[in-house]
Amino acid sequence: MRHRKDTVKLSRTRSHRAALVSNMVTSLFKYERIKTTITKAMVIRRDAEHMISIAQKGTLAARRQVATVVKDQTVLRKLFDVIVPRMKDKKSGFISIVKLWPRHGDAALLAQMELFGAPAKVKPEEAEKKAKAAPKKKAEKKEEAPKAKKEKPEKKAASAKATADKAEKKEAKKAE
Amino acid sequence: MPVPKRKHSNSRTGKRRANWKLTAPNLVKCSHCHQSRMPHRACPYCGYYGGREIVSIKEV
Ligand SMILES: [Zn+2]
Repeated sequence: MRHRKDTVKLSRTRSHRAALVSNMVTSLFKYERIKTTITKAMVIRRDAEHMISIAQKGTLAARRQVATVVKDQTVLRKLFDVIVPRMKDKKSGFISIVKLWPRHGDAALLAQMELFGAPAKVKPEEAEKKAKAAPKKKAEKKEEAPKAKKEKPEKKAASAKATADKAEKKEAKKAE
Repeated sequence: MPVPKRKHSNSRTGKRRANWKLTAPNLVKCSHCHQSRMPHRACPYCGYYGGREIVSIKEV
């Protein structure tokens, strides 16, 4: 029977599990959006939401309590100064989990965890495109512009030559 | 010790396994790109779920 068996062991010892949770919760607060397996996501959500709930008290005791899990001082500061103010109207549901697809290799179902109000994502592709496109466009324009100028003067020169030839011919005709 | 009296024939094995069946996944249409996808999961083709882009999919 699995009655009241609440702990998902994740094939790890107690200390290994605690370390995993600490690392994952810290990562979630640091990056606001992380990809992991659905099983880990469900385990980590519980601890992460608990940490936010404690942090909402805002007291020194709360800070010390959270610091036992979130061991990175920068992330701890971010949690209290940035993340918790964003969650002030919420009592729960700080984290959303969206199922993705089976992972190549071991077919474990992946999921994405996201903090409530996480900054909108700029697509890596678009960022790359923008980064690549911007200099390219400028370069292309620069390249194209001189070419056009070069071509135009040539054409102009050609047309000028043609007109000049015509004029010469006309003059020649006149002379005849 | 109780032991089997008779050989378990191939026929019996087959009859037992005759009820093992595959079920087709209950696919739904993605509301963004109209491809078939699994329900309650982000679309693996466009990365959308619940009307917004959850993950960015790299085009190969
Ligand atoms: Zn789609």
